[in-house]
Amino acid sequence: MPLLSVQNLKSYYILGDEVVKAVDDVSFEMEKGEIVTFVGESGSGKSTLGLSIIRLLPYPGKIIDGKIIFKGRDLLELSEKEMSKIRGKEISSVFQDPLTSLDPLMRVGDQIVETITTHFDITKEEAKSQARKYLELVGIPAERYYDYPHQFSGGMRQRAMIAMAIATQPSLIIADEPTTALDVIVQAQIMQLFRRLRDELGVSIILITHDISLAMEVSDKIGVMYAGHLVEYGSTIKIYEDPLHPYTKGLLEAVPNIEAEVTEFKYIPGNPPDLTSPPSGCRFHPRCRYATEKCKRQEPKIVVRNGRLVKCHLYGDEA
Amino acid sequence: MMNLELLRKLWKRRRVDFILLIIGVIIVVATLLVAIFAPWIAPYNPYVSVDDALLPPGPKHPMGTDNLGRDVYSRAIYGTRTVIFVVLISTVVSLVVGTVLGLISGYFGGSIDRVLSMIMDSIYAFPGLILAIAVAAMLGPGVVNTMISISVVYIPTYFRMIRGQVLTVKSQLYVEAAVALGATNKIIILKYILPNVLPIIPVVFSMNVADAVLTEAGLSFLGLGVPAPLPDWGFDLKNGQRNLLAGYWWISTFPGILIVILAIGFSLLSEGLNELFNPSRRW
Amino acid sequence: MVSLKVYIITRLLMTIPMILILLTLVFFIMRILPGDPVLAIVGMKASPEQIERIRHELGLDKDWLHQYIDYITMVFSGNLGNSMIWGRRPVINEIWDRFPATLELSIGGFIVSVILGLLTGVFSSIKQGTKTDVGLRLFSIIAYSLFIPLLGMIFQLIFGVYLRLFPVAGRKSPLISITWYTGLYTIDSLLSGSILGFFDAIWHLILPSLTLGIVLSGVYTRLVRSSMLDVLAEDFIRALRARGIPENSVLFKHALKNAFIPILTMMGLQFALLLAGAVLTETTFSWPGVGTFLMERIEYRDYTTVQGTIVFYAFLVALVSLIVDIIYAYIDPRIRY
Repeated sequence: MPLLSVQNLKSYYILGDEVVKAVDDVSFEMEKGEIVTFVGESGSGKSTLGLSIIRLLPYPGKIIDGKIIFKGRDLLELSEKEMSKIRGKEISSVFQDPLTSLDPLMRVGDQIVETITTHFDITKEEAKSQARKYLELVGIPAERYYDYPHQFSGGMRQRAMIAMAIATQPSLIIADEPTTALDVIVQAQIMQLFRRLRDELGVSIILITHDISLAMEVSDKIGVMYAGHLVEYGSTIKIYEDPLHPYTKGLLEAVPNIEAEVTEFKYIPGNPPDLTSPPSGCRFHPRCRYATEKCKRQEPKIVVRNGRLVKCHLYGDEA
Repeated sequence: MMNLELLRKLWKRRRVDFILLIIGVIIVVATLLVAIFAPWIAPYNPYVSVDDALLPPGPKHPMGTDNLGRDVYSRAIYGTRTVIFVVLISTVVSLVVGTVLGLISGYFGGSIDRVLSMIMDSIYAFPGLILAIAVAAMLGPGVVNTMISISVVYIPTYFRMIRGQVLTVKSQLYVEAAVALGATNKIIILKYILPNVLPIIPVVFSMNVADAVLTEAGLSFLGLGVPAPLPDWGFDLKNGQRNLLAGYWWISTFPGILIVILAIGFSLLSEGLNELFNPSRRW
Repeated sequence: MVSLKVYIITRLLMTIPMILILLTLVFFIMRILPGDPVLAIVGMKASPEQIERIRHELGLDKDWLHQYIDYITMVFSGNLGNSMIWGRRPVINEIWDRFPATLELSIGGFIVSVILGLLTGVFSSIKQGTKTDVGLRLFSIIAYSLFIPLLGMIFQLIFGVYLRLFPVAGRKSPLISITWYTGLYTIDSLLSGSILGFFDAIWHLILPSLTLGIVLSGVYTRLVRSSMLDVLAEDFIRALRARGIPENSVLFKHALKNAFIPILTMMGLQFALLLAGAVLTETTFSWPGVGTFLMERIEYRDYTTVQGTIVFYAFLVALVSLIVDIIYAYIDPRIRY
């Protein structure tokens, strides 16, 4: 049984008459011990997807439809109380900007302890020593326990967030742009940390980023999001060797190759659509070099092609 | 600046705020209209005794008569003139003086700025009504003196606001670029700073007027506002106080409620304009 | 990051310019504005010698600079001058006699406004976007626009006259006697062992405190709501929920504590509102505090007292501003320069 199975998820932001269909009918499955990365431009819905899984959509977001089956239970059927037991314990999260992700008035170590004691019935002393252990695990000296968040560097803060995330021994970690605000060296360290978590502790990770080369580097599977749709999903290697969706192709081509001679940068023309009134048919068609009349009129169905999903008319319409 | 697009957006996204804005506008406009057409609306002369004193509200006097036999309703209507006149002029004076000083201080900086800022901050920190009381007490009674007392209180509000905006705009790169290209001070102020400052002014102004209405009423209530026979809500409130506990409630209550309604009107206007021009980023 | 001690000392030093400016401002208002205080006191019938004598007594015959220096040195040595009427008592004594009354009323009003403001503000922020939120916001606008004398009078009419539940004026009933320890009737009555006195004092405090408190709470509701919404929109709140921290903890242990810093500063700034509101409340309820004292002396043209009282207010404001800043620095370690 897959660790996580998302089926037909629809998450919209509704304000008065205006509706933003941020995640519009997305489905995928994920196994235990995998790193799955969702890539896409700003506004593609990838962050909303991550927040939907833990049911923390900000106002005025709402999950309209779908199923999120985690370890055999549909998370959307749980009460808020049951859900809060899962958050932080079974499914942990790491967000983009670590400075603003920590309570500025509380010592870092105490915040880790708070998370541990919320989910486990142990003494504060026990929790403290565990907190120190996890700090060391992510490469932060244990005596920094007593510091305040603003006394940490960006990279350290993010590592502290990860320490908090793994302190409860979760099965799944959702990391939303964890390294975007950090420099490449720190980024490499954190990705290394993620790999260790997967290999040594068997933790599954959902990574969300706009950086496709990062996705390629670290994940087992990749999901490509565009305008609220999951347009391609499959193993990283296969996608790299043979990208199916035109958008995926465009993303890969846009990454400059440091070894090749480059005379001009390739990019995908146009802009991401306004999600209050997305394009008709396939949402990518205005920017797609392969677009046909059919693409304008009809939204493509999801096609399965040897273990991969793709949402494009180029590949026929059999599901 | 004020375009229908903003209004339409407000109607669509935040209907309640739209309604509140409309209510505020209605109250303010109604007050202005009553003030302008007072002589035609008021049934009696507000300055003289027209009937027996202390008559309760009835068909001839919808708000009763006061201790001197004057019609409370007519005094209330003419009271709009006093409050609009005094308050609007005072706040406009504060606006002008505060803005000019804020512009100078923010733009030229240096010791002028430091000194002015310290002075303004100190005035701002001091309780407004008490400051007005001090000034009014020294100047003595009179309409102009009341206006001076009130404007002194609010000058720092505009000073701070304008100065803040000036400092923000001044540090923008495009202003530096303009200076490098040879723009004179006058051009910079008019072309760059003013347009950035203008959208906040209506919001702050209406909030200010709301506050000034209460300050003016306070001054008059304490006997330091406009002089005696002038119909003034604050004054009438005080006038009715001595007979209040004997049960003659109408002399104070009606003017009092009008003060509150006018203050609410301007407050709603301010909040509504704020939502209109600077919609909350919090959805 | 600087230690708390150094911050306090620096902040104390910064208070001096503020006080000087306020004192100069008061001097400007009281001396330089038109209006001759001496003539107002003695009237037109006095002889020139009498006028000269009083002028000399008040130091008004010296030039401005000397007057100013005298004034500043006087104030900083704790002397606010003497009253010009009756027993010529030192102004500071007269103020000090009445200050406890104002203090008690202000505390009462403050407590009401804080409780009401916090409750409505927090509740409003939690229920953002719902009808409750709109209703509470509207309530706060109305509350703040309520003219204090009007609200006071309505309370007096309804609860004092019609329902006869509360007294409409004064601090205590005539038959009760309380020994003066602090001047605060609530505390003094307990100290003199009079439980009856204590309840009597509270009974007299209720209507004025409610009046002042409700109007002030209007300001606080908006501040608290705004502050809470700002904090609740911050990332770390979402991160806390993502860690499964229970909602109560999130709201009260984390959000409110963070929101409290801007709220506290705002409350410090609103102290001025409290003082101003107290003046109106005192005159409405015939409360024998500094506010009624000020108005009384204005009417009697007792200019030295009026000046001294305004100076007193200036010091009060500067003091509270200082205290608030220090508390602020204590709570938030990031702020100490």
